[in-house]
Amino acid sequence: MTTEKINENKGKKDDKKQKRKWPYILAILLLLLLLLLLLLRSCGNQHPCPNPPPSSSVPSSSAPSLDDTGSAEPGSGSTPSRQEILSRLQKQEVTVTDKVSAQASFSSGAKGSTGTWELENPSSNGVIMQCEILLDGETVAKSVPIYPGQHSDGLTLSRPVSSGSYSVTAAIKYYNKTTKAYLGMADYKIHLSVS
Amino acid sequence: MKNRFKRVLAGIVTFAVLGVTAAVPAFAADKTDTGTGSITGNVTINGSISPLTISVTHPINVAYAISPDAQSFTAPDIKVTNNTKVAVIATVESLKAASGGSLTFTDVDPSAKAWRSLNLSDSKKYIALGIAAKGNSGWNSGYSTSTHWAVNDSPLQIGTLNPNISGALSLTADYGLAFDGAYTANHQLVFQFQFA
Repeated sequence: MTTEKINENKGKKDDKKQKRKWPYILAILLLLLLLLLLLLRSCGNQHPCPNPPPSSSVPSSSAPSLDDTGSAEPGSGSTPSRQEILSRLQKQEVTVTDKVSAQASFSSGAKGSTGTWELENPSSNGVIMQCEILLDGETVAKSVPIYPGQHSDGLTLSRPVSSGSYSVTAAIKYYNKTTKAYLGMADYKIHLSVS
Repeated sequence: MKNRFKRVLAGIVTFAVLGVTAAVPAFAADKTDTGTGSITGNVTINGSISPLTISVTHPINVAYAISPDAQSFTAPDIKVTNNTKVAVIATVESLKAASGGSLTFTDVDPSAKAWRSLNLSDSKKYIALGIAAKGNSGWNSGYSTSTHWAVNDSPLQIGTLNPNISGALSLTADYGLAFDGAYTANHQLVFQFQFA
């Protein structure tokens, strides 16, 4: 009888002990869950996820606050008018005046023979001129460089030309006075006479 | 004394004759026609004519601006002035996209693209640039009213300008709108001038 009571008391004590343990277990489990959540969060911040959301859509830990310093201009932004654009473009334009003799004459068609042909680069031009005479697309003579305010009245044949009268192209090329960079060209149809 | 005077006189006469002969050589080429009754004399007149100078004032570079927001293309008129004593013909020999800017366009026909739908890459790649004579700007009647598109290789004779007269040309273009920055682009325009 006594042993039964003793056993009964023991069982009751064990039950009580078990009941006392449960809150601790639950607390530990909750703690572990919290730790796991924290770990997962810090992992999400440090390592990119396979399909990360756009950065702008990632909620920040705190709501953004306005930096309310400085002030913007009132109204809508101003775009330059057509007249302002035209004026700016016109300032970039380079205009030249050419003065080209309508005929180049050579007393001989041999390579190296000198002939007469006048090309003037007026002082109002801000470019260097150099001219080539093209016969059937091939250069037969080339002028010296002519600076503003200068002229050239002679040419030398760079290749032999049979005596005769030809319609040729005088191709004037323009170069920047300072950088010597190529700017553009113009062609003149002139007459070539070789005796 | 008399003999000496005669010798001096003869010397003066000789020098005078020689001097006149040397000073007026044309007299030596003169021909005396002699005969009886009616005499025919032929006279040759020699003329020397210098070649005329062709002078034209023209731009050697042309600038344009594209404003995608305003969907506008702006370019100043291209003015050509004939300073020659006679009329000259102006021809657009070539108009071609050139390097040197931050973009180098490819010239295409205006009908080749749906311009307002071009994406970023194609907007920065393609343009249809054309040039045409401006009406009532000094060109003689009969000037070309057609547009020379840069994609075409054949030259276009624009028209004739009388002495001391200026004619104008204008640029036109079809272009995309998708530009993600400020860019520059160059085109090379070559004129040809000749007597009319």
